[in-house]
Amino acid sequence: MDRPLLSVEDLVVHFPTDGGVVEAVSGVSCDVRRGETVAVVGESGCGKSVTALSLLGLVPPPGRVVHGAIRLGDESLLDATPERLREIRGDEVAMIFQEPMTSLNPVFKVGDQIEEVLETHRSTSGEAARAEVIRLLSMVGIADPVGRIDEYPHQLSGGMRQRVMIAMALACGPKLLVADEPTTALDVTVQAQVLELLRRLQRTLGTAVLLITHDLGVVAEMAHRVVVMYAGRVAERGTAEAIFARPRHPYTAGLFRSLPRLGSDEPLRPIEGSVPDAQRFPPGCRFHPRCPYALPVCRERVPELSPRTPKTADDGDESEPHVSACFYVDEHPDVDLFAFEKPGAP
Amino acid sequence: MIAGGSDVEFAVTEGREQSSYTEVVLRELRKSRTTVVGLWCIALLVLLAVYAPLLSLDQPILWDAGRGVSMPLFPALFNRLLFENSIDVFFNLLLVLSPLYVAVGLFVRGARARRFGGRAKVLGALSLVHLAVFSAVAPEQFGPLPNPLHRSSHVVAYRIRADELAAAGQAPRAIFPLHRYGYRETNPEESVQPPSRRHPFGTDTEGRDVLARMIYGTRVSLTIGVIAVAIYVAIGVVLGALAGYFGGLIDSVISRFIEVMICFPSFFLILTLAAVIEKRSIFHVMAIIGVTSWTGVARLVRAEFLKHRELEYTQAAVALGIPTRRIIFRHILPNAIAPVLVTATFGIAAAILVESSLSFLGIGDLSVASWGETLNTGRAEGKPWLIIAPGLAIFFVVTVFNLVGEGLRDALDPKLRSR
Repeated sequence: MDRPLLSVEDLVVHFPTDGGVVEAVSGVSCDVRRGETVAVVGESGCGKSVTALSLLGLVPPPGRVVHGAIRLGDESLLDATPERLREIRGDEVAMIFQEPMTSLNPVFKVGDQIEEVLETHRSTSGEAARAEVIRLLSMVGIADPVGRIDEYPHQLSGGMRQRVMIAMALACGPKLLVADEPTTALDVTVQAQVLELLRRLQRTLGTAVLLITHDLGVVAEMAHRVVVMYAGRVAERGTAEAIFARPRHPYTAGLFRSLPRLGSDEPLRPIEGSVPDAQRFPPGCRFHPRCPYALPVCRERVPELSPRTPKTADDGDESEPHVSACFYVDEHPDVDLFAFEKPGAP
Repeated sequence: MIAGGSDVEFAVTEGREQSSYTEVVLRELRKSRTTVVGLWCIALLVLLAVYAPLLSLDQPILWDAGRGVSMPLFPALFNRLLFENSIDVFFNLLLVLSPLYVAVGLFVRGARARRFGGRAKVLGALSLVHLAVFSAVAPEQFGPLPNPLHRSSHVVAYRIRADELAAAGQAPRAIFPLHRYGYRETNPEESVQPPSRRHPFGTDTEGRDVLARMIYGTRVSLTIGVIAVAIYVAIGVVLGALAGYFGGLIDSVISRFIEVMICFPSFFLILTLAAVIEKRSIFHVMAIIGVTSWTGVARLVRAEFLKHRELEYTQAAVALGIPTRRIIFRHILPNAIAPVLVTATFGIAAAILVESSLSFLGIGDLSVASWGETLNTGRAEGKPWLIIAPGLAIFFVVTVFNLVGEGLRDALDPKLRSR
């Protein structure tokens, strides 16, 4: 098997604050291979955005990566000079953000903003760049790109702006696109269009996508593989099929249970409690105060990510074992976490 | 459904209306009557400054005393005896070259907007013809291209010659500027004259014509205002941008420096600096105002940068690998510049006032026509015409810039914007 495009190993990010050090990300590992979509899922404040930002060295100060390794191909991004990082950004790894309304600079025409990226990384300018911008705009499905190129961001709708952002991000043909909640701020209909666009572009351009989201619907539509994060740690990791078919962590199961299901009269069961304060994470498994399956050991020790046996043939593939960090599942490998009542009290 | 509907509505309202931020601001500016009047007044002041020699000079535009037609005014524009100061040389160059840039401007506009193309081209061509005729008609006096640094040895006193010839009953054919006095002509016999037909605003202690000094004074005031403000806006923007964007140690150092600067009472600082410099010129005054007044702009820009560096578009620019210098000056600065424009407009008025005050206190540049200096003479002599004219001139210019500044502030404030 060839090396993954991006590999993150044991990433730890600290934010020193007046109230002590906040560990936003504690030991996250994940890989992204060429041309695949990996979704990072979790509630607000679970460290998924910080993980994404740390890839490009964009963790806002005073936060910093204190441990771990991030490798893009053979290059270590944590050791890269600021100048080299700047070259990588927008060229080899690009990023799109949650708020299309404010992610474009209000004083520049959209065409000029895309052109600037080309100029920065490819030294293309003038007529050639303009032609390329028009090609990019039509690629992201903007009708009348020749007319839109000279418009200002405020003249475009939210969906269009996100398309322009995508065009900017893909201008230099990056190997990896980091999409931080790209559809959260959009209307549902526009959301579907943008997701469809991302999927189509990924198929045609072969760009790998690291998708940060809290929306399991988006994950189901887009992701090949999924990383579920809770309170700065990876709770579960595996192929989308495996995780959707048979979640192996109570938190993942809880996320699914809190989604409405078509044709079901069952009341929604949100996960009890709320995300712990990052300054006072509970000891042991950080999910235990909210976990219906919590064992005494969960309070004391941190569970390791352990491989789970696939139940069916297509559940998980060789190169990507389905792993989760849960003592209860360690003891009861075949438990059906969808059932709310736990079988046999501990 | 609802979401889709609102999106359509959004598209209708914001739609394809081609209006940039600048256009929106200009539209807002035009809504306020006082601002429009103020802008016209500034335009008038600029025209007055550029075309001052055509309004007030003792050299005729056309002169024919029987030995052929000449145009003495134009070579006089670059005669160091009449116009010694670089401010005058600069404005005179603007005056001579004005047909050229009118032509260029019209051609450029004609090329941009096709439908005005024809008319603009005609006007442009006319301007070029004007320039060509001008350089052809007066080659004798104009000579080879005038060297502004060349010091001519003498000036023919055309006004006096004209008066003498008229007295002898043989009036020359001559077109003089509206007012036949330059601002540097001294005449000890006519010192401190009250307003009369020849001197509508009277004369000062050295017999210089006050009206001419008022007219040429606009040049000094506008230059002082614009250059001093340009200096301090440049300093303030760079320091404020660095402090706001980078934060941390850089911010602390710059902010403390700003605080130290603010602690000095600025007018006394300016006064002290101006008094210390030997051989003061008007440019020293500009530089002094510039280096002492940048703190306000720096704080404003710093605050704007603190806000804008956190906004998504800045993060997006960083994530796309745009170089930092470009992010600061190309991405954030245009977004942060609006409040600076407002302060700069008010600043022009303030700088004009400071220069007038310095001249009033007798530590200005004596080689230029400063309103403050005339005011000072009026105070010393106790003559009202030496006080009223410069007083009104200062009042008018300062008011006009303040009106425009206020209009600009309202136009840039989205909260006051009526849709």
